[in-house]
Amino acid sequence: MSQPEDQHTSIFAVDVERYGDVRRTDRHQKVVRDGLYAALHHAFDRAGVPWGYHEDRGDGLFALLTDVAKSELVASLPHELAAALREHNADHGPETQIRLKVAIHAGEVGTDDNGKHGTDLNHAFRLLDCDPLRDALSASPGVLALAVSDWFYEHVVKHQPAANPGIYKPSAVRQKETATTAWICTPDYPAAPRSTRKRSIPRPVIRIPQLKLPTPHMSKPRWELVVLTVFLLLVPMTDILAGATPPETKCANPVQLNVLTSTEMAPALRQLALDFEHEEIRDNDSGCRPARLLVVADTYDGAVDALGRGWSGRDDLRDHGPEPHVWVPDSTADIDHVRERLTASSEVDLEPRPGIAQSPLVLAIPPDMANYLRPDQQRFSWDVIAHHSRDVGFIRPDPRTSSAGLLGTIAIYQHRLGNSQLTSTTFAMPTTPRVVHEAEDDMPYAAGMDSGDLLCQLRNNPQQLRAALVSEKAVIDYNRGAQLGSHCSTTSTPPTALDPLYPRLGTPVQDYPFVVVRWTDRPENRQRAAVIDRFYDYLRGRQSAETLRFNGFRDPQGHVGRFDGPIPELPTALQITPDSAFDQVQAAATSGSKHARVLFAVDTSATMGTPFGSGTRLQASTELVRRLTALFNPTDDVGLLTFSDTERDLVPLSPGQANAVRLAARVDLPASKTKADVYNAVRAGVSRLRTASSATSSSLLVLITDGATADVSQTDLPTLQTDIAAPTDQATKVLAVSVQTARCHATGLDAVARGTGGDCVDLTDLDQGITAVLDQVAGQLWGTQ
Amino acid sequence: MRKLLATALAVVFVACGACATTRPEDDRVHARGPITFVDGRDSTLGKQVAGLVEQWNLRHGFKEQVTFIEQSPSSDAHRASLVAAAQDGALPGSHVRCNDVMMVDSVWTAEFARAGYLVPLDPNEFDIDKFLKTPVDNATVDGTLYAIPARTDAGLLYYRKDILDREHIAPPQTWDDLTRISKDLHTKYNMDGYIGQLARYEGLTVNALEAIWAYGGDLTANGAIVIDSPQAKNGIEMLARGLRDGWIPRTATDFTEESSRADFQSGNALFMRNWPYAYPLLTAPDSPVVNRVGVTQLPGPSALGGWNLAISPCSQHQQTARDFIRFYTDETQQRTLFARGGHAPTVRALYADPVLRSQFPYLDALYQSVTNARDRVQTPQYDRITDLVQESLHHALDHPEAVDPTMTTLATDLRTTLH
Repeated sequence: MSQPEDQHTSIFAVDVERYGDVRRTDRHQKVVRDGLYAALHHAFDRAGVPWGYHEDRGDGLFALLTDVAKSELVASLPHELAAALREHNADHGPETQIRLKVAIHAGEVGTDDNGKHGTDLNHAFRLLDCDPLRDALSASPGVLALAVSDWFYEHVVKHQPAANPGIYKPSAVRQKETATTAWICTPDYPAAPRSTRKRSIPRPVIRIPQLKLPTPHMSKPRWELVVLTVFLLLVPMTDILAGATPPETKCANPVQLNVLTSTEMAPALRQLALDFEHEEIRDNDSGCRPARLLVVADTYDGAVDALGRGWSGRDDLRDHGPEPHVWVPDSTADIDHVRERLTASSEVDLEPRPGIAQSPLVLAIPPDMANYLRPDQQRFSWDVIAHHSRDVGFIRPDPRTSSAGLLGTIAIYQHRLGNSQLTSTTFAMPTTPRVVHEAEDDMPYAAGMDSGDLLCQLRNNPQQLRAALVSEKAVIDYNRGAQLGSHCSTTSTPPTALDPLYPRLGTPVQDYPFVVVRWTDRPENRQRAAVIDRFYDYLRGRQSAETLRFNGFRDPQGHVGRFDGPIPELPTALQITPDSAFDQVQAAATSGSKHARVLFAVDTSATMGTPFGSGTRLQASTELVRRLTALFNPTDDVGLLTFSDTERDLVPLSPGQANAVRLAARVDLPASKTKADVYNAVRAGVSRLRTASSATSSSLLVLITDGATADVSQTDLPTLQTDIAAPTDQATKVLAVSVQTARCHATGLDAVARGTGGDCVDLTDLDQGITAVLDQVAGQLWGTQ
Repeated sequence: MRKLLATALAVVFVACGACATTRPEDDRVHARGPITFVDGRDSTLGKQVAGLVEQWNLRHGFKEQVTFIEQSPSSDAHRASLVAAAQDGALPGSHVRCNDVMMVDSVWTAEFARAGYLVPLDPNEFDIDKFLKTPVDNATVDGTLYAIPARTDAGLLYYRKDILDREHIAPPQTWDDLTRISKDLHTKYNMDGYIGQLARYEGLTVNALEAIWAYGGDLTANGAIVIDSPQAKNGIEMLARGLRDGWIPRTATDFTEESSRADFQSGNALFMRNWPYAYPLLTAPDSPVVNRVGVTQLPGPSALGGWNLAISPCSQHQQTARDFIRFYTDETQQRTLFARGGHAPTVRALYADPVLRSQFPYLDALYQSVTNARDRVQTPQYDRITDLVQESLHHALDHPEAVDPTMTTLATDLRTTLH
């Protein structure tokens, strides 16, 4: 069987205890070898691990497993192996009993004419031959002792509850030129905690009694000895090649490489940066450190703002860290967003390279929610959000602090607006604020949170579980009890797993591009450029892909780690045009989710009894109010006031009153016999709205009148305008609707309303004009203008 | 035409006059003009560092204006920013802003000096004898002075005086005392026993070395790595057991200076190891623990912390740069920075100042800590060493039983690193 060169491979090596014992005859040894193979085949089969390339070593063997999830080697396999060995031993006498040392490591294994080679393979054998492993087996009453490398423990065992990481104990291994830590356990007889160990562990059962034997054990020459011999021969030669000069011990100061990334990618990228630094030092002939990396995590807006102004803000260094040389944002949209901000004079130039990982956005649902959403093969249609927002709570991350939040927002808006290109034209359309608000109402965003923070909050408050549109990576972390966001550390008791559902059409995919940031005020630092290239190559290499998959990301090819839940194939990605108006998307989300405070003021003076359409002006006005109430949800503040010469609060402004207003604005609302004081009604309405308004709410007075008795010459408009103007945090807009032709201008209400940022609409036909008024109201409350 | 040529020539001359590379070295050394001063985030109460710069500017006007640029509060990010700027500023044709005067951590001073990021200074110009000796030694590399101590730091033990008084317990003098009191009281008062800075960054090296020193171990002895000695292992095992037994909370393994300070300030912990800057913040009128905090020396030697002022070779106005450093380190400014900002002075005389001593009764403890503090930078490859120490010890703190083999491996790795 041939292997491609230098695959990142799991190495599984075994060694039979006391295989060469003199009392084992050749026939015994054959039984042992056959038994070993049978037990291994049996165990691999039962554990569902494919039996891959292997090489016999006489007293043992090693197997190279390329397409196997590393976690599976330490989950059920050791137990299956122990069981198979016990079965063998039960049927065999003392000379043919098998107790096994196992070493597991992973790394690059190459092939040449002489077979398999590589430092990682050597490392596995050092672990297999180390004293602590031998001691662990001889001290165990069981049949198996297992050593995993430090790398394997850190990257695999530690994250795998099924591997029972607690039973592994670290041991220092000094073997040949290796000094490392091995993590050792006896899976079939895990050691008791240290304090009780002396009393509770039975004396080891040694199947073959130990005897002092004169004949030393002569097994066939081990190939690593050959390697070592060659190495020793080579050493003097390389010295000759290098000349007589001793190695340079004074190292140049390492090149500083500053990397900016997202809060989601930072933990994995920090690990990768450390691994890269180690590799750089290892590959450096003089043992010097060629580069020093700093990975800084920032929020979406933090990075985009600082880069978008060329890191020129007064406090950018303080608040966002050093100027980055490399930026690994969560998505290409982040880059387009920065480019939208950069001007010709900016000192920043971005050179994006293909991404180092991927993660699609998914709708993470608790299993019982499937009853409502009825996914089809883990796919959902964007429509379900509008259809089920009353039965299922939906939530998404903040489009200002995370790419996942922004991409989710773009996907939802594209779907709702029926427009695959969200440009500034889209946001200038009168219908947009109403649609955006409905979308925000159905699936609000959690302020300040990224995918991890959001799932962390759900994990901490299991009673308020909701369907969250988050990165697949965060769902994987949630399901395996890993760290979530910056506030949830790992948990040993993961909650009920969330099911990831994928959008049937247009999945937003985070693609983690690698962006070289060039600063035009300085020449290129060649040394740093070389380090950047090497770091990029490293991140795109197999070992990094492994680490990234392990951290819940997909690799650049879209392959996901072995986790329950994710679908294997990456769904079709949503197209996001680089010309998207990213700033406006964010602004629309903020405005569209504002809490609304709306007071309707309806003129009930005598002239409102005049015919209008099929009824009277007053009936048209109350009909308008009833239709407008559909815009509001139970948390919005709504009220109804009628006025003629005085005002009456029919429904005082308060939350959840939309229905009360609908009932109070009845068809037979009586008209009074007096004239209306429109200007005073504006003043009264604004003053009611102004109390207790806040920056996160949007206040609007909808004044409906025929303006018949309003005489602009008899009123002091500038004073009225000054009275209703207010500091921005208490700003209250006025939307006047005139139910008599051309009265907006004649009454001066247009000037009054526009002075507040509002408007005045002449309504001549209710059915024809209603949509425009709905859009106007939504635009005033939730628009970005 | 001749006029045009003359203008063109004049432009060339003026342009070259501004070129860093063509300007004679001496000019820069004695030149005055606007400079940039770079320091970490000014986290002092009432922005004392910014206030000091403002005072300078009031006196010197725009001709010698100092622009104060704050760096990240994370010292790793601060360092990365300075190093990248120094590396890029040295490239021919670079127009990167020069960090004329830099605040440099005592830990990086030697490395920066050897890498050529700092200009040598004349001790006489700075009246060097007025400073504490250890910080000056730290800023002297291969016999040359490269920086002026601006702020010294030594760890202090902050404790909840109200609780110890109620229990009639004296502040601990040894780690055994501290362990015992923490164990007893953290359950009784339902609060954390001890917190320090155990996140994976330079603070971890500091906290680890202090524990190692307290148990009689060390990082190196006569140039050889001895971090695998039984004493050193005992020190780290003490911390790991504290985490296992719960009197040091797990959250402390994510704590930096500021997060531990915030935790202690909200009343969550009985003991905290931190630097002197925390004192004015903990005792500010709006602090939840005001009047309930005591300060004493650590149970063992402290790591020497501190910050030095140094000048970049790119500086075009080094006379102003030196004057500004003298201004920063004169007795008046040092007094203000200590009294209002908690920055322990580098000027020796201030520790004997009767007014300060009466205002800040812990000044004596601080002086003892500072004078007994040990320099943790014992080799030129310190940056590599501290990275390895952080990496392996952060990992080992999770399991007391992992400490022994991990430190054995660490020592081997360190020896390899040091050749």
